[in-house]
Amino acid sequence: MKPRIFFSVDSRGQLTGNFQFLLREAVALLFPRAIPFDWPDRGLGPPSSFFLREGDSIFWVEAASGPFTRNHISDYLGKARQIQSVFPLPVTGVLVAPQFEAGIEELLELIRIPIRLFRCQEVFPLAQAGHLEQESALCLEELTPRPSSARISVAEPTAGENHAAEIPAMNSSTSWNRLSREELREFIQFELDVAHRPERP
Amino acid sequence: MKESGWTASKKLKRGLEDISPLFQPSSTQPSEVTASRLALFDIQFLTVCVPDHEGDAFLANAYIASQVVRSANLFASLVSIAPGFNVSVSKSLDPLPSLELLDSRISRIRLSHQELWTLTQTGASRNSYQGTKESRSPLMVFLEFEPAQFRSLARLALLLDRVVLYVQPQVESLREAYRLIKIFWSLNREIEFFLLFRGGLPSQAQEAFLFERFSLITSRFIGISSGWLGNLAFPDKNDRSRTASDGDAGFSPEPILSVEGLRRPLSPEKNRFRDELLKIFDTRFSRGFISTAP
Repeated sequence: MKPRIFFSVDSRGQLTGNFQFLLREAVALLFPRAIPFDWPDRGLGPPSSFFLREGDSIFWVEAASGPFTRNHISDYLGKARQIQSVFPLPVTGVLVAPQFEAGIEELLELIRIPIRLFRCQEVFPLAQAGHLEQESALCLEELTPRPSSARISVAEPTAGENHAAEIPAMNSSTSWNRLSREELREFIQFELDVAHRPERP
Repeated sequence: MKESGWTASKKLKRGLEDISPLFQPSSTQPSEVTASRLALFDIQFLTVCVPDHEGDAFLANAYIASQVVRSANLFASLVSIAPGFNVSVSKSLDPLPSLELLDSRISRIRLSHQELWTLTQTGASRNSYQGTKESRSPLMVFLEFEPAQFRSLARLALLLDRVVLYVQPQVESLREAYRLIKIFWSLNREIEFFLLFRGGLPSQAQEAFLFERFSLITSRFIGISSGWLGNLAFPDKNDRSRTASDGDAGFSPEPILSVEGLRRPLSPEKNRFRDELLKIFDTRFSRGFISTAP
């Protein structure tokens, strides 16, 4: 039986429950052998991030409240770099967002830690499934391929939900005031070059 | 615009008197150093942008202007353009915008969007303003504005010769600078771009690396090469042990003081704007403000 996590919505469909708390439960179901891990740097703590530890591995969970686009990469990269600098053990990033901009995986590959993307599926009422009308389910669907399983979810997805709900990729020819994917890739590489550049006397 | 938490710098909120002794009434004026290699221009239009700190553009322009007039024998005029400046030409009995003197060689004019539009509209039959017959010192016009406040930067971009991007020496800030360069470059292919780091790094090699790496990106994707003015920190208001000149050791303004790279003759828009500015100066100061060059 696939696990489900419930939280409440008001009459307008807005979340009223503690999303972070529920997300923690959902992620705990994804990594059942992992235990909560208190990160020493409070700047990386809740509500934006939390950590789980399984043996010598750390899972760094970051939840985006809205669509994750290329504009968020820099902040994410900064956090990843900070985590890498203070923690010697392998870290896996678990990135959760309702939507991911098309092609974002390719850009995230530049970050030198493995990152697994989970789409936080749209909240859907469960009245038809015999639950209270106010209850909805949180469904996490993995978008990145895994060796063992193509998808992980903590609730039963409804029909059609497995279709990618990606934001259309930016058209670099018309987005003259935004960075193209190639430009953003270059700046990410730039940041990595700076981070890994040996200090000169 | 947002800065990352661990690299965030102080918000630059202070008065003019805090950023340079030039704006302190009782201060002693610094001795003037005329740049020996300076090839003098008659007028140039420049703006200092702070793309990684929205809200600081006005102070940054005033600060750089104060630094520049210390380095060369020229006048600086800050032309402040913002939606809130409603000194409408049509509503006033005086047809010219007001002008205030911040220093003997720095003035400020405030313009609304509409006034800027009016002053830069080219007329086909207009004759160039001759003004006084005396020779003038070079005039550096600093266009002060917040790019984020403008839905369209097209008119402003057409007025610019040079853009100085005053940013933190970090990649995130440079990315914002690059984004702004793209916008200006798409509107005016005659603009020269310069980087000025807001504060230095432990070694000049690190600064040079950042600039060179950034230049590679602008060269590859936009096809331009940008200049580098070194670094210049904002003086800390609370640090009384520092003088305003302490932070300018790494500042090399020569590239923006040079006539080299300026596209001349002036475009019709710049020509019209220049005429109107000179008319304002001559009217307001009757040859007293813009003195003859030595």
